[in-house]
Amino acid sequence: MEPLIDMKKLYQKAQMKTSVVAAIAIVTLVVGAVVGYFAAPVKPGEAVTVTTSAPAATQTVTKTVGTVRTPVTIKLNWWPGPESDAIGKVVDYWNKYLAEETGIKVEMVLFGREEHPDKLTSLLLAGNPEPDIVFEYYLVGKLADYLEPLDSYFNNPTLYPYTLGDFFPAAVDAFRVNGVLYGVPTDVSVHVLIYRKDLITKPPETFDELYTMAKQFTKKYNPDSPTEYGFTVSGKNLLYNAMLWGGSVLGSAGGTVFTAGNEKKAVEDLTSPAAKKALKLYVDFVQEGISPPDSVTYEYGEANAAFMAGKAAMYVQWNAAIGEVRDKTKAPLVWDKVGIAPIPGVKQTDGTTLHRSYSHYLGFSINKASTHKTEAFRFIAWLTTTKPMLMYLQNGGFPPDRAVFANDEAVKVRSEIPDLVPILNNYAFASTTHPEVFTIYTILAKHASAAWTGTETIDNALAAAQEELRGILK
Amino acid sequence: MKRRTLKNVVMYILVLFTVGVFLVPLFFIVTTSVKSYADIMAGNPLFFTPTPENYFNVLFLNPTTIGFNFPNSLFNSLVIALAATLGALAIGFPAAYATARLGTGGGNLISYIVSLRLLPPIIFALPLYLFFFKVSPELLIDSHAGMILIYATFNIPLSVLVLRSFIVDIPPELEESAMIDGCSRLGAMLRVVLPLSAPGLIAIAILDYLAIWNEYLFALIFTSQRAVMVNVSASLFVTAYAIRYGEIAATVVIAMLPTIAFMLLVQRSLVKGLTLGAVKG
Amino acid sequence: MRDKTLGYLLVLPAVVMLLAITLVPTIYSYYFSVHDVRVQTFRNPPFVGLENYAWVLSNNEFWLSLRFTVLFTAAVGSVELLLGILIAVLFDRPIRGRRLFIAIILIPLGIAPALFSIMMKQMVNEFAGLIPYVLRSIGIQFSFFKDFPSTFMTIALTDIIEWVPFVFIIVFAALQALPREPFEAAVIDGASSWLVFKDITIPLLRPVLAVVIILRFMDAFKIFEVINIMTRGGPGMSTESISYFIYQLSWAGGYNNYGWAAAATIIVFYMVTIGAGVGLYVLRRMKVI
Repeated sequence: MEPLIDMKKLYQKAQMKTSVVAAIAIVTLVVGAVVGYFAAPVKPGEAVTVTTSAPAATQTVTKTVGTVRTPVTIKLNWWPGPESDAIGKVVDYWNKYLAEETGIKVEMVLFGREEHPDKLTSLLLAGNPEPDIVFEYYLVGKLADYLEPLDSYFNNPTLYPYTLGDFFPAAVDAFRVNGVLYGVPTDVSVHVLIYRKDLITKPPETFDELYTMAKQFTKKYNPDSPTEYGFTVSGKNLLYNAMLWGGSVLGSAGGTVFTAGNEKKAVEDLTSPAAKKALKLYVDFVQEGISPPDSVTYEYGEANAAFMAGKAAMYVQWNAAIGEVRDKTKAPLVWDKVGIAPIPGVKQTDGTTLHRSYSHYLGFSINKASTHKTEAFRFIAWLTTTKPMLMYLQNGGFPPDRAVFANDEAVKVRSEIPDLVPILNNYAFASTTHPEVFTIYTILAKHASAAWTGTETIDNALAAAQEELRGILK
Repeated sequence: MKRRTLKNVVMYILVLFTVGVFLVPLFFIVTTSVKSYADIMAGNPLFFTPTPENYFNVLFLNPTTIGFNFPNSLFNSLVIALAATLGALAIGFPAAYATARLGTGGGNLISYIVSLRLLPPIIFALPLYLFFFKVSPELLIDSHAGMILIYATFNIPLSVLVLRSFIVDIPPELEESAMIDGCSRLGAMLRVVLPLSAPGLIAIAILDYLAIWNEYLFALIFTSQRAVMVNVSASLFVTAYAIRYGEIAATVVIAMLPTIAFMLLVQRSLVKGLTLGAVKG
Repeated sequence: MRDKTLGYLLVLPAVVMLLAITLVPTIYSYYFSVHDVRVQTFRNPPFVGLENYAWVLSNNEFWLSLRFTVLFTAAVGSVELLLGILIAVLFDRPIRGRRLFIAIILIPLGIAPALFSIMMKQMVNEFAGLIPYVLRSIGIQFSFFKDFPSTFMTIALTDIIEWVPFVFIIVFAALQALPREPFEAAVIDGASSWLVFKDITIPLLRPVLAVVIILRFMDAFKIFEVINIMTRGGPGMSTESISYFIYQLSWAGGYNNYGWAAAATIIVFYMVTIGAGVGLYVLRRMKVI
């Protein structure tokens, strides 16, 4: 075989070139690494709890709630996202203006969204004293033994000299396990129907209206439709999608949903006509092509993308999406065309339509093994007052606080508040705090997604889910 | 002559096609890393305005408030990967020599060592966390030392297995003549076998390094602040509500650089190293 | 010092490290597998004998995921092997810019599988992805996740792009080191390329291929990240790998039952070890190895 070209010369040339490239890459890397080393918040090998050196200003501290004297750093845990960006600003404010006076500095530690439950569980089970304040999401019921009960703190006027903000009762309930309060809510997430208000003047109220309208807006059935699909199903086999279907859609169909103390009844009711109707709706949407074919792998982000790209006319989604789809830079095609409505439901015997919206809450708890519990509570207590909560809202959070919602500043920032208040007041219900809550929705997700992908019939899927859940909740 | 040239042309086209297939994901990642979020979500992947904002976000976001610190995680990954690789080699080489030359452990030791690779690592995560926590949380949890310990150990099986087959290939006469000249067995190992296995060592170093750099699960569970590694840092861009593809693509591109540098530098040694052991082993 | 003693000393660090890191978790795993270990019972888990094992063995999902994993490993492993060998042979000739091409091909190996899967998923995304866009512009409407066959193909493709370079570089390196004489002799004798490949190349590569096959199949069996990110085991449960199933059992957002997870892992471990042992024995009897 004759070579195409003189390899030796080329080889020599290439050798030189690659060595140069490699050298440059290594130099860049070393420089970057050195910069990175000095940029580290805590140097490797250093002790983890860094006590801030006491400035002369602490001499002038007059009133400090609690018995803290030596300056302390507490660690606050969260996961990345708009809420952590928002709380970051609140934490910054505290560190700037209140840290000196109280002697408490707050540091944020982020755990990724996916591994947060595992990391949290591991560190609590091991008895790790850090982070002091843990970010809570559905795990209160399960991890209660490892969290600090907070009733005594709130009832202690020395520790808590404020009045508790006007939280929606469901929000506080979400953190009670067997009547004991283990956490404080900071965010509410509730389900809504998002639709194109430029194309739909009156949003659908009943299931039938929803189905007909969705079909109208699917190009396959109506070539004149401005959108390709009428409704996007968040169809991935994911427990959060099971909440969308198994909470709001099932609830609005008249099915029994999983609320605290009600779990067994909800399981027995999974094969009711209402449940079948709810599942049939989604199965039809997917199988008949009213929802994009890929939607069986969709979760939060992809469902938003479909709407934001102008491809779908409606979908059921968490309210956090509202900010995104109404953002001019992120959703140039639809930002000014977003309508919010309650989840369509079934007509009841008294003539009204049933609407139910699943809601869950993010919040904070205190690590039972923490060595700075009083300080941690001091911070959380401050957080629950109206000013920080308003600041939180203005920066991207969504606290379940009626006092904050009533404030004009809040509505200015979150235009959807007027849309959401009626839903929160009338239709929202809090999810169960049963320790197996994640397992419940994982099982629901598994079987429901099998049905809407056509791998399983509706009856079989619901029966299988019921069977499996009976085993878990025995 | 004509037939040969036609064949060459066809082969060259196939080569280009193969490279092209592998270029597609790379192209996608690089272009995504310079697109704004709106552009990424839009339906038109080929037309966009390039923006450096993703790289900016990844490299310069304020670490204390937000909690990210990508440059620091680059440093951590580099240190941990290098140290663990060195550790795996330093421990693996003598063990490989012993099992190859001195018959230590018979066949059973090797089988046991290799069988460890069969287990899904998930099962070790929690127990190891608890164990490390009991022993010394300061030293072992969320620390460079802890991660190096874990990764070095996990790479011992691979290192021993491959190094062993290289050593078997080296003719024992060389060591024997060294020992006749007054060298001890240990000295022969260090002065004769070690230099001869250099290409093999480099080859395994690369594979070990890659395995550690790409590791995800243990880095996720064990590190949170002090010893955060690149993949964990990148995963923080999978936020609660959106996957920030642009920033993730940027982290992938940045993290690729050390790997590419290594591969370019040692490509020749890699070829030599892998073949010495492989063909005859 | 006597050789035997030296031998023990040399393996000592390796054995100590391996035992230190793996022994305690292994003991924990056996302990977990015979107790009811969940977060609520963690402080004092009750002994349940073989109940966990029974639960796993009678669980439909367990067998489904095992079957899928075997199917996936066999399919993906063979394709990666075949493609890796073919590309290595293809590159085993003087080519302009070969160094650069090889560097490009090796890049997927340097990207963490999890991150690579995220990028690939976006790349085939119906609305924003590059591939559907290109396909649509030439008139093809293809959905990558519509049903089991298309989903399987998509995840297989991701794994293949990531790992073919691994097979490629090892086989390529081996090819480079092969002696030239047999090939030159074959050319003189007028043998066709195919015959050369079949009767000379493959037999000479056999030891390398054995190592590559073992390594790749072992790793493919543990496939996790691609599934977790792209499909979560869906549609339904059809793409759950055994690693994913065990993850679901132990994950705090899933069943979170450490006893079940431990039992499942131990069962799988013994199944695979015995299976591999039997397989090797048969292959040896048939004189393949």
